[in-house]
Amino acid sequence: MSEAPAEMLPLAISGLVALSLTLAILATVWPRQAHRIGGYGAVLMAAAVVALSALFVAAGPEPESAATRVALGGWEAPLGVMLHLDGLSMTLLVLTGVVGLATSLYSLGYVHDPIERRQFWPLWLWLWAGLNMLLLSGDAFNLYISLEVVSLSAVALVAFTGTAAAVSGAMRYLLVNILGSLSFLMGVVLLFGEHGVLDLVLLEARTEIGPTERMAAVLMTAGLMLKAALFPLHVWLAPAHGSAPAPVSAVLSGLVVTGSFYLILRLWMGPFAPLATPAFGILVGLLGVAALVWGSAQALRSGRLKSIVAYSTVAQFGYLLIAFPLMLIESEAWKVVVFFAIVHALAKASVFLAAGTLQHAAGHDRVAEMGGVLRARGRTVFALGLAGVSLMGLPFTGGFIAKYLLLEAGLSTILAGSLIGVLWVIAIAGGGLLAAGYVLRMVAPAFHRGARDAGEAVSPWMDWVPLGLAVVAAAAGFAGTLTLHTLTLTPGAP
Amino acid sequence: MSNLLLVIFDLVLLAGLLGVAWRCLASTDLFRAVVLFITFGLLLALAWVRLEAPDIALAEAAIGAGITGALLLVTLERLRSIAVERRRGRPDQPPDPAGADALLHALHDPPPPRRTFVPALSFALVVGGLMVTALWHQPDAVGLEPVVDEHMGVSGVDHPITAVLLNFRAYDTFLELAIVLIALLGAWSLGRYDRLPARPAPGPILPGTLRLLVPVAIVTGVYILWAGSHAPGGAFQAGAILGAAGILLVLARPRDLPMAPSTPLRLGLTAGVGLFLAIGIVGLFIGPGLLGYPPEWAYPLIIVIEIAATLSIALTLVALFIAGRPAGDDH
Repeated sequence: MSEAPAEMLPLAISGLVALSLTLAILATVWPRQAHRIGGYGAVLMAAAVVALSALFVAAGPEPESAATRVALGGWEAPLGVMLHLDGLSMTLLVLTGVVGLATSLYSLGYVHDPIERRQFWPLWLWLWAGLNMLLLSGDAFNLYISLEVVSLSAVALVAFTGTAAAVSGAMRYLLVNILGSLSFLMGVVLLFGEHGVLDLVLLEARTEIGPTERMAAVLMTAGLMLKAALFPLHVWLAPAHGSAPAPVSAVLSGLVVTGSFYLILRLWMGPFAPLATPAFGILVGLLGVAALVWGSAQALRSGRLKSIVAYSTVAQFGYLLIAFPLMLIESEAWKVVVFFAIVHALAKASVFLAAGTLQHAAGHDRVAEMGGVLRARGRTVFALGLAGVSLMGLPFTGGFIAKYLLLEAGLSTILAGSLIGVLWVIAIAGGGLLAAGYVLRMVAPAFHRGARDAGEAVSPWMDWVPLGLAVVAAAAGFAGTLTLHTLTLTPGAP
Repeated sequence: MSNLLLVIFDLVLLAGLLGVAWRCLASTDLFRAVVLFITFGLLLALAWVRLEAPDIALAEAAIGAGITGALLLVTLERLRSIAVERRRGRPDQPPDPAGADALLHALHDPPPPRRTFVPALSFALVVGGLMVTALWHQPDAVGLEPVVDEHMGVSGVDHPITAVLLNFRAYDTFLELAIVLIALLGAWSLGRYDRLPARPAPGPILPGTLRLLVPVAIVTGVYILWAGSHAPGGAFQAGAILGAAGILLVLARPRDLPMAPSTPLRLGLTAGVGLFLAIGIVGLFIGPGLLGYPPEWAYPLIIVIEIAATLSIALTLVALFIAGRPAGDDH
């Protein structure tokens, strides 16, 4: 391909980091203008990410040399910190851009109190910048700091409304995050002590299977599982995600959790790849099945709209764990997992945004008493249903393609002679039924007879953005080929 | 002989660290626990000195023991004043003596959490044991020292740690500054500043001591900042010392604290990250890359960034001590 895109790529990567940080700092200095900075900035950032991805796809010639590494300050690893862009991080950057833009536009309507607005926008822009930096970092210690930026701003966003439920949810979230970060940091320290380098690519070249690597892998993975709310370390998720303001829940369930999962994937495809054994894979897969069953059961029991959505995150992340044993046998399966995580993030964010609109209109989120609002707000219920259908995995949605590919990977492990593959296939198929159960619980009252009551007025942003994002989630299937192609541009992946 | 003495000193230090940590965790009185935590921080700083890491020792003493201790103490003070307020009641809420007593009781003599003790201890022992095993097998890795030494000539400063923090890994340091700022934004998002309850007017001792202490703290802070380019020191330590001076000033006049106007205050708080990023972006276009300096400009630019960072850190720490956002911020 042409030379120009490849040459511009490093500048564009640095530019994206600089842009997201500049927006965050400007909003911090001028909180009165923060919503304008955030609104226009979100459009600018989404455009920048799209431009970067266009450059990336245009420049990436061969899968094995597709990673672009930028030496910050001109200092190459091991001395300096490297930014690292490959197919995996590029795909998730685009996801972050899309969900970030939708959340920002929604927040223009949702966060209308002038005092709250000044608290919300700087923190949200720091969180977005943190996510961009997390996805672009190629250095173990820098990953830790980026994780901290993300966690700390996320905790503050959960708490900023100041209600008792929000503050106690945030406190629990903070403690969990600190524990997870410290665990991750201990692992980084062990790796640095053993190998004397922090850069992930250099670490990957030096890793052997020894006690240090095992210990570091356990510590870092446990810390990240805690942050990603992967079963059995999920208990903090529902109180935090359920009590946060709607746009914050959308970002937490859609992006922050996915960010921690990305890091687990990145580490196990890189430095820890030699440590993955089939028995370990099966253990992780069983945890995934348990997450699927338990999370769905909680979602089916819960009486509050946002709790249902929060528990469904626990359940849906079970699929990501189930995919782990599949990846060990069917090496292409990791791309399917990432695609699934993307579709889930889009659908989950739009469900949370729609739930926020309904909650705002009704003044509460007790499902049993929301019938009137659900009947009157067809557009939002349609968004909720459409995104829900994608979560269930019905045909013609992104969720269908993701689950189809996942099932295909499961079936091919059975063909490869793995008996336990039967369990994975049953879980993947059965999980869709459970999802149908809790999604129907949310939208069913809309079809009952009864009075219509539109409730409180909502801004047009809150009315239309969930629908737009739900359409994107459903249509994500059409971008499947492009996504999978971009993901093949990840050097070192199986 | 001196070697033996040092070994004995190290053993005593280690025993002291473990003992103080245990007492701190076991204490049911929160005030005593905080004081023990500060003691622990100071002992830990000594341990860092013995490990020949004076930079970390300075940071541990100033931030770990000093500022964190002050933050914990002021939190206790606020909780107490909340209890007193609840007992008296406010115009908008009736007095609640039972709730106030429960809160005071929780501060001084909370029921020991027996249920979690055994699982927590066994978990700590298992993880600790595994860590020791892993570290036992660890070779003495060369680390990055040779690479850093090789590049000292072009780093712009003479102290390797400052070279790493402000030049080679400037991105990490920038993000650390950002984290301190985000912590403050989080605290501010929770509510407006409430004055500390008026206590009996301070006697002549506090103002008198401050008159002597604050100038000394400022001189020390500026020296530590300046020393950073060739010896242990730097923006974080200097910022913590200046912040401590600021906290003392706040304590000396709890009732009539002058409130800074919003925009200049926020400019001061973000000066560190803002200037760092601005210089970094200039580096992207005319230097070696994002957050890089042209070699001949490295020294002055690092100094400028360090001065701004020191100012921001000191201001942020004082603002965290005051807690809520200033009233002027909401107009």
